[in-house]
Amino acid sequence: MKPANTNAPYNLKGVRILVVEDFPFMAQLMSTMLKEFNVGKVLSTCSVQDAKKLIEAHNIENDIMEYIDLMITDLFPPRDEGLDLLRWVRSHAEETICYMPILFCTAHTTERVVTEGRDYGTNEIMVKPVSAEKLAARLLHIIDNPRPYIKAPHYFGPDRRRKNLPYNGAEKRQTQKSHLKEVFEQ
Amino acid sequence: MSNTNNDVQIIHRKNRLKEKVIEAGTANGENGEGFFDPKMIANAQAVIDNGTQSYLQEIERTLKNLNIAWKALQNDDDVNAKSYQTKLNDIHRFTNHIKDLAATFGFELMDYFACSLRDFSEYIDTRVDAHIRIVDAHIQVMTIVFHEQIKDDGGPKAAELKQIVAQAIQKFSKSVSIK
Repeated sequence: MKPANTNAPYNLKGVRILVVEDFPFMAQLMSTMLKEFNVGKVLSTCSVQDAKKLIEAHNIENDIMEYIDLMITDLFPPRDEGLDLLRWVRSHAEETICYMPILFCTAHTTERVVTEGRDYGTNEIMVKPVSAEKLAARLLHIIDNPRPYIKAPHYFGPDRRRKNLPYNGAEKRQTQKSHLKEVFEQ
Repeated sequence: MSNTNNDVQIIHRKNRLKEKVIEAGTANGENGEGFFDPKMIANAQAVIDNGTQSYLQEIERTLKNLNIAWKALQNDDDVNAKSYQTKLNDIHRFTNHIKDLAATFGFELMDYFACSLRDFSEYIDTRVDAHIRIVDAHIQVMTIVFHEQIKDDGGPKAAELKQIVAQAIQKFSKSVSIK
């Protein structure tokens, strides 16, 4: 972690996190760790269907303090239902849901899984096994380094480019500048 | 939520999460990088470090479920049936869970065998005798690793157990070449 430039640690008391894990033991372990981080409210479920219901129950027509602020989800191998959940969140019509930060948690670090996680709109990927240091680092990265969201014909989610490096190769992007629009939320 | 026309929007959102975690009156700025209380991180890690007993209980439970799923799979004659695939998925899920647990709690040898069985589970065909022997060998050594609570990855016992599984896999390779 980078050294802090502030004099007070972050306070997660007002934050609500949803943990979606395949097995109750891992959901409980993750929830207990988040409670040690002083997270105000931790919800957990082992069902992708229940996760969808929980998100809609909290993030539609509710007080902002009741919103789920962030979701941590497992891949749910071998059927990869975690990817389905990512896609569902990012394609949701409600802004209070489709912009929800997501930490995708998996022990499967194949190129396919990482690429699909990125292309389905996860904000960060945490490679299992989980540790407190790793969890803290991923959460801090989501808090401190949010990327703009991209709404394109075939993608919606955080900007998949993490770096803006100089590039001298041939131009591959097909979007004309006249079709590119920057929006700043007031 | 994606655009249906050719326009691309780059949307800069307010950082609501950051607004929530910044304490009123502190020096945390909108663009600065913050931190968590190191004591909280240490306490969270202690949940894992002190959780060996609950790890063992969960492994015992999951090994039991793995055995049940494996027996059920062997009793299912129709490899093309949906029920067969469901049972195969169960074996993948249970071994992946054991792998996750073992890696989290530092049981390297269990992690090794669970990972090996999880990867093999994608190819299991109970009509092939060698496949049955390979899965049996994995479950047998995982049960030994659990009962003896072998935590490290070294030592003669670990080498012996790896040898058992390696021999079973060697037989499997031969049977594939015959097919």
